[in-house]
Amino acid sequence: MLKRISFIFFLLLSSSCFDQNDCLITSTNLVQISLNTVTGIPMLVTFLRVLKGDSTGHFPLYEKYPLDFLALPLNPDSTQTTFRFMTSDTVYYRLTLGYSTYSRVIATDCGAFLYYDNLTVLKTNFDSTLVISPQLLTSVTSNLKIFF
Amino acid sequence: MALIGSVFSQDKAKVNPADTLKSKYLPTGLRLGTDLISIIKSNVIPSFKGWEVNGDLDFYKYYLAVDYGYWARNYDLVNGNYQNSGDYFRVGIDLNFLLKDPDRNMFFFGFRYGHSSFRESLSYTYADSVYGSSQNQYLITKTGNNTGLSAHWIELTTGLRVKIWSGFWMGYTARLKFAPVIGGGKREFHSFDIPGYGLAEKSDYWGLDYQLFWRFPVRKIK
Repeated sequence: MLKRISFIFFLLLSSSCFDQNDCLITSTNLVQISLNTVTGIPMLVTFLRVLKGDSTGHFPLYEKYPLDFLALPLNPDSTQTTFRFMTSDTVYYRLTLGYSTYSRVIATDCGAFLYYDNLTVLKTNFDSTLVISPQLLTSVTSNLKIFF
Repeated sequence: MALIGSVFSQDKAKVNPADTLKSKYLPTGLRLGTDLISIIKSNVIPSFKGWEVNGDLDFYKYYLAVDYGYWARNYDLVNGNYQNSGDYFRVGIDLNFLLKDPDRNMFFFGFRYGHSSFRESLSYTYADSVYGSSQNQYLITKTGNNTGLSAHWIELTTGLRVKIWSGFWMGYTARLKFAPVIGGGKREFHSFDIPGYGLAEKSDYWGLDYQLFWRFPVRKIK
């Protein structure tokens, strides 16, 4: 009995011998957005401009060629971020996303990072949207679906 | 009269088994001590300050064990600073497997319930290359305080207590800590380190105390 207890104890003890967390940074402020038809099929859309809120700042990476996927950054100093998507000089869509943030120390060797959670669509004039995953992590491939 | 007298004298000589059992479970000594590893770590590792006192009281082969301690961390992160400080206690039972040892040396297995009250603070800065203009990095500075926190966990323990001289004892306790739960207080960031336990995100953690004790006898051993 004693031998069995000793064996189990030292097995568990040896499994917990590493006192530092792995330096695995999963934090990102990029919200993964996929574009779809109302039936859920990926849809190629060409945007003339993808703008940050009401500013003139924009994302050239996603402009002027057809795409069915975007990764747009959320503002780390706020709990909501607005994007504008122009499909022509007169037509634009607006998307305001809400979220919460929290700080987390990963390990002393890799530091602290900001994590994003509770993603919601606060306001939009897209036909329909659906939050797939409310937590922003590097391992998550889709946070939000937009339906045209 | 002689017959009656002999009956009474026989009654006096008899030992009641219930009394023997009761006396076996009465404590014989209180052992008080401290953890050497905490003291050495406090003087050698700049990011750690702490101490721990330990005590146990025997009830035949069972020992009521109580630990009380303090620990504070001050980590310089690659992008900021993290600090915590707090008190903790553990209470539990050890089971001695060396019952026949003439010096009452002890090899034991046991368990503890651990509880910590603590606070934490964090400040850090990091560069975000995607928000802001694509040319300029966006510097983010964050600070946070977690106050009035409490945590509890369970431990499995094993170790030795060896009599060195008179009332002076030495020993070690290896502990496997698990199932930490943090609650209460005001939390502005995810807890990183729990005084008395270790990294909050680890579901199991190990610890080792090397202890010096003085034993105060409370009853003569028959």
